[in-house]
Amino acid sequence: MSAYQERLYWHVRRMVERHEDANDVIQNVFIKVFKSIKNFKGDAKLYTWLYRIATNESITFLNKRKKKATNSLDDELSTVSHQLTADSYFDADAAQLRLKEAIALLPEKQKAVFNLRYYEEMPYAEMAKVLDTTVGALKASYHHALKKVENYLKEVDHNL
Amino acid sequence: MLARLKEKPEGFDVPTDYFAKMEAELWDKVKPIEAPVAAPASGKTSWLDNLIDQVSWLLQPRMALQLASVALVLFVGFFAWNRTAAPATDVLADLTADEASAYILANLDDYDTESLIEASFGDEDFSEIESSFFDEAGVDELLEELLEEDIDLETLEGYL
Repeated sequence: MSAYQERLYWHVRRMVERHEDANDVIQNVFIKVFKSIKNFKGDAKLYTWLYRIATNESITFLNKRKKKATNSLDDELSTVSHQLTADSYFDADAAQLRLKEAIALLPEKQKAVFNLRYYEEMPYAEMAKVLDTTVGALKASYHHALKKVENYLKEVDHNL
Repeated sequence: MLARLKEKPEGFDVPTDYFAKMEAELWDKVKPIEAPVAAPASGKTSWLDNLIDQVSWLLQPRMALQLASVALVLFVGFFAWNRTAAPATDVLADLTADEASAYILANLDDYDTESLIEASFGDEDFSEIESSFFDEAGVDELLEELLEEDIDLETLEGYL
């Protein structure tokens, strides 16, 4: 299990952005893993099961956070930007900040697909097992997310 | 642009020794889940260990036994707590540790394991762990996300 802790942490961190939130979520993940390990049937790789739980928990967290916020889209962007820059465990240049902003604005499931593909370079076949969906749907989701992120970065560059 | 950004540090950081300490902190959180519930008001906790030792050969698996024992502690604790209001005929009033242990052993068959487990974890729902990240409607949901963003059918077909 300890072999997966760091990998899962970074997956969660990329989803929820802030370290404090990622810490809370990853603890919930491992508590759930501990409680339900007996339900793990062994018919999938352990890391596939772990990634699925981590992704579910991250999305649950993001949905709760979204429900608490009542922001417009512009407000959402400034909230995301503020959350990143206010986090003492985030130290990046302007370009990385813009990239994180773009990713943070993606719908939750698209964000998960984008992060797994872009950062972890997970093959689609493997991702399909983690997220229990089809390769085709994942490809569509990733390519669309990629376009959105690229457009956002170009727009920001253009405005600067 | 994204390829260049991928080569640079993401900007996320963690506290010093965070991963080294993570496992220990997780076990600290997880241990209370396994530990018996707090002792009854009478402070009679040592008989629990005796009880577990004595019935361990009777009941399997161990986890179900612990859960059943915890629930029994709750029942016995409830009766012991209310012993001042209980009728003189309350069989669990004023029991010593050995007597409580002997009583439970003698009447173990009266307790249904399933209902005891339910009493302890009745509100827990582990079905979420078993459900897929993308259930039967998952692919549709993912594609719906794309359609909500006004992606045209031609572009979507191109991705697929």
